[in-house]
Amino acid sequence: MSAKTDLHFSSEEFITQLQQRQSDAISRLVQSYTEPLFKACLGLGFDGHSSEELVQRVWSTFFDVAPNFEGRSHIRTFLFGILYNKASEMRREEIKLAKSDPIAETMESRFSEVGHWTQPPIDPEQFLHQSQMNEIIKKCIDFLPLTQRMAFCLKEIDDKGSSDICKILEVSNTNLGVLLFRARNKLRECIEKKAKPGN
Amino acid sequence: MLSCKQLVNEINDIDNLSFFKRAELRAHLLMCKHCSAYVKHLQYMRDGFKQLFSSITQTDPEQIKKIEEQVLKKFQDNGDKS
Repeated sequence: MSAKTDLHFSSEEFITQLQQRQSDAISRLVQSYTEPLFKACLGLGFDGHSSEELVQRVWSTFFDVAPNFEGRSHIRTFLFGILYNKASEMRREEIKLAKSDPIAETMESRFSEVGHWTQPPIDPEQFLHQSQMNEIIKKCIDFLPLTQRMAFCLKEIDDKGSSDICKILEVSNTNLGVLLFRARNKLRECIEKKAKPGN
Repeated sequence: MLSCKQLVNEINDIDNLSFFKRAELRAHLLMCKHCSAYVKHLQYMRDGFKQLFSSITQTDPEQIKKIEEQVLKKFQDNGDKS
């Protein structure tokens, strides 16, 4: 996505066209964002068919609310926000950030009272061999709650800034930090378990 | 002196840390092989996820085009009704 396209879509002129549901404006928008939205669905682990269905739902929700869109956040952020909601809906996932997450306990148990490692991380060479990396990450990433996985994906899609990610996931900056911390450590624990000799 | 646990908590937020804080983390990493291993794991994961993401999100331009057309058709159909 070029910066120029993004800029165009945040212009007042464009937003007016959108509110009036001008089909020309709608076409340009659909042609610019369908692909990134579809990629995000695949990145979240939905198969091709579900991803297609999800993208359809995102656009149809968007068209319903478009006449009221005021452009307070960028249209791209807004679309990904809808995607996040629809994806959660689709997965019927209940794990929310506020709920306790077992990774917090795991992390506690890793350190002594003075904060030294009691169970040190394994040798990085053992942690991941290039050849098995994709496969193990793929398995482990499926264990992450949708919100955590979405944060990872958004970081990959044209490198969104964290304020954009916060808006999309509807979390504060601090909560995004907690969310990423948990996601990384959960993934690391899972990979370590699978990479340890004998597994 | 920074403990390993503090390092692990703070390294997560590395982008927002002050120059001095980062220097403190780096100094700890030079001396601590466990934390160095931990940080390397995170790096491997980042690279690995990047690779995985680009491999699972390969799309076929034809398929994208098809979806776009369906979306626009739905939009037109609804417009005609209202």
